[in-house]
Amino acid sequence: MVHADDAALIKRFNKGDPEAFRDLVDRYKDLVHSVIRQTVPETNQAEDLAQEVFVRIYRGLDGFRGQSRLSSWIWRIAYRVCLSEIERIRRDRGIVSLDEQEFAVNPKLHPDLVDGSDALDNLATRDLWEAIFRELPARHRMILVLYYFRQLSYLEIAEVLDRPMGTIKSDLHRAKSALRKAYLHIKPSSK
Amino acid sequence: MTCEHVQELLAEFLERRLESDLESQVKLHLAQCQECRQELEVEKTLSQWLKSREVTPVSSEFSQILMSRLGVAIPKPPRWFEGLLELSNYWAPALAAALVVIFASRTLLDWFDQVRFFGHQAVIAVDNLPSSADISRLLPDSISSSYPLGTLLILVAIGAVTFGIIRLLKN
Repeated sequence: MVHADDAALIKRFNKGDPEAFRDLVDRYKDLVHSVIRQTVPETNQAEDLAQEVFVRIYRGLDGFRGQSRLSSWIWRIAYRVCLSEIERIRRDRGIVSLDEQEFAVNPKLHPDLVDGSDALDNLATRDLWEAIFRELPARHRMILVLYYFRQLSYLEIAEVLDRPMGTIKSDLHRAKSALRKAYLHIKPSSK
Repeated sequence: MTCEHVQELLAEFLERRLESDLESQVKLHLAQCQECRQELEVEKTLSQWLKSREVTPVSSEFSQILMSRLGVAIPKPPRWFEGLLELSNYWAPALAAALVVIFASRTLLDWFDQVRFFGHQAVIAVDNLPSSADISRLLPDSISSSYPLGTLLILVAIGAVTFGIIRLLKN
């Protein structure tokens, strides 16, 4: 299950090679950082969160048995760190967790997106997607990022999030439907 | 095929990852269903947006901060280099001190020579009869021979400064 290069890295780490962990960090640091930034775009601590991911990897690598891909295990840790950060931000802002709720544009976060003002017309499509994306439940964001940005398969995402593949498929579908609904609602001209 | 099923397959359809039979069925459905065609357009723009996101590199200090946080030793230089660094604990300061003494001594000697030289010149001017033997006797003996020594001293000084920088980097 483990990628050949990753398997070699783990073997070196378990043999006590001090360079092995550094090589692992070099291989994944930019990707982990990018996935965190994309999954939690509202954070300004993406690099600290990436540090946290690697601290957890370092502490857990001894117990990693290779039953899943190393990358899947890393994304799973990254996902948990992202969830904690999203919860922290929502708590700080006094917003109820949206993780398991049906998507809706949250007026507390984006009043400009729901008041129908002219400001909407000035939003570029990219900014609009970004704003809508931020409102998705964390799991849906992670699925979208892993599926499109990291181009993982349904099976790999199922490994990462520890859910059946069918659930991942329907979650991805729901996430896209929610995006589409919000996109068409906010941008009437694209209907 | 239901709309829900088609919409689940749109991402793979766009990526051309569907089996040919399934792809034909999706195509057929899209030709007849406006809602799914609209979904396809959204899928296209969404997919383009998500894929266009770039890898954002971490800062250059990321690994160093992480390693010190974990208490993981930063890879050591080779043993011979370590030995050299250890030695530099003793001989770099000694060399620096020696250089200061040498340069200070030379400056003082040169200064005394100059004083002596001008003093004799004054005497010669009074006598108005300088001889070549007088002048060669009055010139400092070490002027010509000091150039090789100066070069050596400069090289040694550069070496000492280099080791000083290495030690600073190491710490």
